[in-house]
Amino acid sequence: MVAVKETLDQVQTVEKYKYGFVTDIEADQAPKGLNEDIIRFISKKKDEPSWLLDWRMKAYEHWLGMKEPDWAKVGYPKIDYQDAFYYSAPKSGDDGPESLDDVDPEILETYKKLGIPLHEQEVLAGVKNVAVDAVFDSVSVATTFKEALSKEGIIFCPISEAVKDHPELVRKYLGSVVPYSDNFFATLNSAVFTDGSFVYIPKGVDCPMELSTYFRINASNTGQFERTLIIADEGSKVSYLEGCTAPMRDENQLHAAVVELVVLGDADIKYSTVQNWYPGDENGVGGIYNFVTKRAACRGKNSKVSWTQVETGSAITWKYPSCILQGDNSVGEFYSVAITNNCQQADTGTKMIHLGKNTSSKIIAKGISAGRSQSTYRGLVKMMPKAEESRNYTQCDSLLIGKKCGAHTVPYIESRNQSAKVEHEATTSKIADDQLFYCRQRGISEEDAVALIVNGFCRDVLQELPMEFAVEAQKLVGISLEGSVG
Amino acid sequence: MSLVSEITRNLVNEQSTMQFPQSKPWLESLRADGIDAFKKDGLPDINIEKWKYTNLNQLNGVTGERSPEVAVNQDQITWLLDEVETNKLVFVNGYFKKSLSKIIDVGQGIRISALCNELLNSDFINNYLGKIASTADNPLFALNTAFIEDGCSIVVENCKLLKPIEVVYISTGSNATCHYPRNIIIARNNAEINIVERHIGFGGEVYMSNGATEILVEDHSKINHYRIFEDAVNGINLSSVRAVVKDYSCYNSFVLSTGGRLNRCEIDVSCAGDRANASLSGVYTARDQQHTDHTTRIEHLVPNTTSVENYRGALDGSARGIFQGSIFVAVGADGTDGRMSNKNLLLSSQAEVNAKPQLEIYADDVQCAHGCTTGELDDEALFYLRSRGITEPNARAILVEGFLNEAFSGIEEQTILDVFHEKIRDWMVI
Repeated sequence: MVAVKETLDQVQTVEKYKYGFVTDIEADQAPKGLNEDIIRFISKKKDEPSWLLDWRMKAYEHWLGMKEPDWAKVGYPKIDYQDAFYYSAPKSGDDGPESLDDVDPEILETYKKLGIPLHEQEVLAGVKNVAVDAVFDSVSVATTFKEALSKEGIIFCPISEAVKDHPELVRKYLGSVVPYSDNFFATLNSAVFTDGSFVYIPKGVDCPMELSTYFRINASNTGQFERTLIIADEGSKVSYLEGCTAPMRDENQLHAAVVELVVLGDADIKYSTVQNWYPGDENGVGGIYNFVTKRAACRGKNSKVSWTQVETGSAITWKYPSCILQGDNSVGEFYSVAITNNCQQADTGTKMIHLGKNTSSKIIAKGISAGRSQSTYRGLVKMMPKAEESRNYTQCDSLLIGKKCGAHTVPYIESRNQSAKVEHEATTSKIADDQLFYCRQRGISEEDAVALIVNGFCRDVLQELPMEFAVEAQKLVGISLEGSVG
Repeated sequence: MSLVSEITRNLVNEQSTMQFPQSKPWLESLRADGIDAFKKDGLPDINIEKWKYTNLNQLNGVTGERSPEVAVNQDQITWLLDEVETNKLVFVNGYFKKSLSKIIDVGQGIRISALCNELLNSDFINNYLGKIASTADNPLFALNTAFIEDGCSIVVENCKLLKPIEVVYISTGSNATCHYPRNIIIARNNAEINIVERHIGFGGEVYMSNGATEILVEDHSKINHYRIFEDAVNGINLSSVRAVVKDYSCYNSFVLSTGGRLNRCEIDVSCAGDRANASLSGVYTARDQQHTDHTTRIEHLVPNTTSVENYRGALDGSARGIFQGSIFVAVGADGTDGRMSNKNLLLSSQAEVNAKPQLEIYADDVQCAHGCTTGELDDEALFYLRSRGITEPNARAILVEGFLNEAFSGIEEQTILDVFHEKIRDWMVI
């Protein structure tokens, strides 16, 4: 009962989209539009080596010949890629901030409002023990706990910094999991990516704290194109969290990120996301288009990747965190909750490509649609001929709240190995009347009862999240469904 | 020019030069619709989602020419339901063979005949033909419509025809040609039809049979539709069924496919009336280089309709098996109950299976579920049988047979159930 009470309290205390404010800050922006000059401009701003500029140019050239994908079950007006800013950075002199004291107080205030502590002493005083890299529009503004981490040999810094300080690592791994020619949005990202996080965990190191990146889109009309690269060397282990918010605006903003994870032998990466971009208003005006490519390569024996995502924001979500299970005995996991309300559309799922022997994967996907929203699970499980004795288990459940929403399941199962076993099950239903009645009978309002039942429905996934995130995610589940009943 | 578009062009050319027997304006315009729709998109290629796993490049070698009328002897046909005194219809290369057929039930609500007779002698069939399926939905239906000439036409009203009607389609495989049987089956007003269809092929030459069937079940009626595909080794059989099920009616389909180089069996059912029910069962087995594709779609368009789907496959050699199932629930179709199950066995290291069980749901008060598995035979079960002195090949055969037979547990008619079991056993033995 205590847990129930807690959930109820949490649900009651949070308002609607509380991250919708705008920070009034002078921004340094590149001119609108996308062309070779803009890419040169971004590359110059970042003071990049020529190989990276060449790589961007190759991607841009390739992108020009590509068609926007239309197979997802989402509808949106054609995006004018020339009508957006591809670079926006808070103006803070010519160089980036040397320490937190140099960071614009307005930005610190923003992160404070968002509940992200950037001052290390604050962090230490509190309960959280998390190193944070804060990305504001196109640039990383602050990274905490850098020194403590570097003692262990861990590199945790903005990718633009890694390009300068650790070019050999970046050059070796950038684009090795998601090549520049991969897909329309990833290719666009390769051409214009501005910042993001870079993590390297050396051999045998168990990262002593959670690493976290907090993404914030602030400027209007900007696209955010971040690129995250995490490398877990042999026998290492890391848990990484990612959060995102944006102001409430009437126009749609594009977020096309790429996340690459490289997992070597015996290494383990846990990647958790709570995606809470602005979803647009109840009539579907505004909101973020979240077109993201995330992929992990388990390259060594016994490597493991676990993706956990809670998708509550964005007008449109197009996202398929995937695992390439190349090393023998490697493990891929995907836990997902996708909640859509009002006019949101989500087409999300995963790909598990089994290449090595004895590889195993598990997919637990929970979709909840309310209002007039559409939610789709789309996933691929592929057993290649050499994936002897490999296993997959997939479960996707959808919950429908209301008469006007839709829930869809599109799994692809391809098996080319006799000894591989693939199991898939999916169900779709509404909240059972007897469950609702039980809660109502005990004096819980209908809306709270729905939040409670949905939280129970998502439990298998939410419990995979690190502690702090799990609490936030539980609250989010409640708010996201506000106004969906009655 | 791609192979698929080249074959498309050949087929379109052939249609334009075809000399159909003297016919009515409505039929002319139906054929014209078909060829126009087909010309628009042509044969589907693998970029079309529904055809993602089946490449019609396999039609390579098919000339596009219409198969000739060929004589077949009585002794070349073996009947599945010999001892039963039943209606029997034989089609060779899509043409009705009166001398080999036997229609015994006539009159009082029963109208069984060759489609060519219906087309030549009356306008009755115009009420149904081309009205149940639209040429726009499916390019193979459009192609079939462009060549409508013959097939089987069964209309039963207010009468329960419990004895099964046996229909045999023979492809003689003459010079890489094509034929287009068109069938129409209607049960209305407390009617019941049991129909057993069998597709066989002779010779080692490539041929294409592109069959299309329109089915309407309405007002407390029921159709049990049993089909067995045993095409010749190089035969290509692309068949499409479009069924509409209305008030308090029921469509049960049982499909077994074992033969042919390429077999695509597409079933598209709409539950469009109160308490309509559809049940689709199927078994596909393939070996060597065979390719077998079962694609189904069940639409629940109105409240309180139900569907069950159960498909099983066993794949040996370098064969490829495809199952694509889709349950669609329209806005407002509350009270829908839809279940789908697909299980596959891989019997060799070269075999491949691709499954796509899909749900598309726009109503909230529904119960829909699907399950899908692929894997190999259970070692423990195998060990159990071996430890009782059963040889390994026999033990494997017993397990595979048991696994596949389960899909047909819904067949109530014992003689037909026996036929299906026997066919599965035959496949195991080869």
